[in-house]
Amino acid sequence: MSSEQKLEIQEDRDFQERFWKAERVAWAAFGLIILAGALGLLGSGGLFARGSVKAGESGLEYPRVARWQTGERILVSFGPRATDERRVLLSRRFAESFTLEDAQPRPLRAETSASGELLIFSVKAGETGEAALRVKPNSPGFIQAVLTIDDDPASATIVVLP
Amino acid sequence: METILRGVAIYIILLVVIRLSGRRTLAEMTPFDFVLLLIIAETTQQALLGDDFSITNAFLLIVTLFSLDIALSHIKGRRRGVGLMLDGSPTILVSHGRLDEAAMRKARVSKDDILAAARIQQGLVGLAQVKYAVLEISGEISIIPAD
Repeated sequence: MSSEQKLEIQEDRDFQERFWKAERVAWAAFGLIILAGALGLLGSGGLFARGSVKAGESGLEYPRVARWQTGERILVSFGPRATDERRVLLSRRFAESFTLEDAQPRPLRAETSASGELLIFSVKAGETGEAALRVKPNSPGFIQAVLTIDDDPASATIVVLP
Repeated sequence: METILRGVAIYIILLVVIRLSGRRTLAEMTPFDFVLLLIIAETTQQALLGDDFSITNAFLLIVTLFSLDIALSHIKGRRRGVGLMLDGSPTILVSHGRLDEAAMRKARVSKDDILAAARIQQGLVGLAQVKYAVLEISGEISIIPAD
């Protein structure tokens, strides 16, 4: 009869083997997450981070993926027009979903109405121009952002990550 | 409400990522691991607090995190499956001086790690003096010397 003491241990090797496999799958997932981040699919820069949409001769460049409570830039480009007052209407849904923190250049004036917030910029008649809007998402989710540049609406879906 | 959701989300994210990164990832505590831990703490701080630096927010967050931890420890105590999932089980790496190389490779433990643990814990000079080496759920290696 052996007098050797046995090691009292609750080893569960079957579970551990399965968990080691799960770990390897998770490491591959970590790699995919990093790749997605590098490509801009998780916001904040990268190849696919920004999208653009046309609105007549004007256009909109926007973040496809934004992050909750993190500032983002929406670039409005104005095509040439006969008038020197250019209007950007932020839809009501957009105004509810984003806080407008800043606009560069400063709009001549801002008005609010039932259809949303209207920003009026000065652009020399017949010339093109740009305005950058600094916005911050108020809540995570899918947001259908509609901005009407002069009379042409531009619609963009922005995913806001938590 | 937002504070509690932030606390729960960060707790779960840290739990899952740390658990799936393997027991040895933060267990060795080299100077670099220590710096890495500080960076992780700094990174999560902003996500936990948001823009609210009030004492109330901090208090609510601390209570949330501690409560989650207490609740999980209770669940782990009652359900072995949950305990296994969250903590794993100890793994025997050396039995009667023989290395389990497959387990060592999967657990990312080298022979040098075992010898270092044997020297530090028991003052042993070689593997022949090791009866058992066990990778504990904490990620540390415990050594039982041969008689």
